[in-house]
Amino acid sequence: MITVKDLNQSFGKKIILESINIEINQHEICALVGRNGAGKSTFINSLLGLLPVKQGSITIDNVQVTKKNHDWKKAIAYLPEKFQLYPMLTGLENITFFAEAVEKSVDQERIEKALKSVSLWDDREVQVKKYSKGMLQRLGLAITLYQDSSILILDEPTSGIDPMGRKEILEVLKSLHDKTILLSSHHLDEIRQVCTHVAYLNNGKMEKYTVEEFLQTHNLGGIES
Amino acid sequence: MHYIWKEWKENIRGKGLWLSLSIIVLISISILFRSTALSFDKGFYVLLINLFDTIIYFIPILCLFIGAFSIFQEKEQKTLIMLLTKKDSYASFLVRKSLGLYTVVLVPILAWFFIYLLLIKFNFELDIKAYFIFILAIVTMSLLFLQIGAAIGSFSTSRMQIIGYTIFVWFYFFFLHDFILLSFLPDVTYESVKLFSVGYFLNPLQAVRMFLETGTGVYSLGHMSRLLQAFMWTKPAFFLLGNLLFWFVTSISTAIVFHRKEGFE
Repeated sequence: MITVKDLNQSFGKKIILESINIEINQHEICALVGRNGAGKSTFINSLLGLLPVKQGSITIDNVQVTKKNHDWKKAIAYLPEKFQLYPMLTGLENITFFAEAVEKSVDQERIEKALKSVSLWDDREVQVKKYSKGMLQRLGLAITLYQDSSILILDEPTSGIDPMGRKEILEVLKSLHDKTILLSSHHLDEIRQVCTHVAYLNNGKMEKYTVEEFLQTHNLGGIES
Repeated sequence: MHYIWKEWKENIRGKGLWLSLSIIVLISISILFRSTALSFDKGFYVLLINLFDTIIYFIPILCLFIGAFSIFQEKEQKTLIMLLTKKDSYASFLVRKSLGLYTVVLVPILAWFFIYLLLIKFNFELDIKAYFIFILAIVTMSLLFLQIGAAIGSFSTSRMQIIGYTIFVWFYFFFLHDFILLSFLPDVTYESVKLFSVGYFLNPLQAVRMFLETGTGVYSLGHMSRLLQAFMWTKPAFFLLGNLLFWFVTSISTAIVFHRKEGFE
């Protein structure tokens, strides 16, 4: 569960986030929506502890995000937008490297399970530079799945991917019933398909809706994508 | 250890490392061919100094580029941010990554210079101690410039910035540092020469060169004037060690304080 209370972030005199209060409950799939430059990245970076929280508080699974205490990191797995991983390594070598970065002894069975869950087991020995964008994105998802964190933060996981690749990724996301997911997205159709809630960021303020409420409130019901 | 393996696999499958190594191989073979006319008993030392004087132009800039681009790629590929959101802090990432880079650069260089020793053996009388000092000089120089490169990669925000900073650092140590010191030279007295020597040996190229030339016996520290004795107030190995420590601490702290993560600004 993610709890944000009175979060303020500003760069110089420019206020990016203003008194953000939001709770993302267990097993919710919440879309983070807002125009370009609305502060989505700032919000995500605050959750990840990459930006210091000067005003307000963020709690991840009841542990406060601070610079000193890193216990909350175990609960979070993050997949950035437009990542490339290590192109000269194979899919298996990539996931193994990130697994070793998290734990001392790597569980090969969990690696196999993670790769199979994103349908990449057969391509595990292929160098990542030969992967399509969709395959790369699925490998990224497998890396986050191996970490076995209860919360996934995904920054535009379908950005720049063809419709088939998008469908595959959305299928994987739909199958993650035991995770809490915060998903930054610009695509209404994938929000409709996958998400239970929407966190809408506008002019520094954030409001949380169910997907239906969000579509009705903003007259987006008839728009396909 | 996993960083070392990752770095090793990434680099041996890429072209950059092999291209860099092939430059060093070509230079050292051409120097060896040029030196075949030298005498069997003394030619070895001349070869080492000639070789050092030539590769000193390449190794610093190659290591600066390898160090800087390697760190920058981690930012560009977003792997850095993925690592930092888990266990790693930037400091621990930098240390592990640096160890990986040292291995990737030093293993092929050491392997080549071992083969090179066998080639030299056919032409000259070997002095293993002198060769060891030569290798130590090359290793120290490589480590130092890799670490400075890693700092450049940490605070740079674009590839153009990396190229600019790298060329500046290379130019500074090759020309500018000595030019600046030359302007102070007329004012150096017996009392201030120690300070001048600290400034002089802060240039890693001068510290490495002095260590090599005195270590191989090419440059003797006997029969010096009082001023020169005061200038060389400690052993060349200590100058080199001090230089190594200074640039390591400076580079690592600069990298930690001024590093920029993708998506952070």
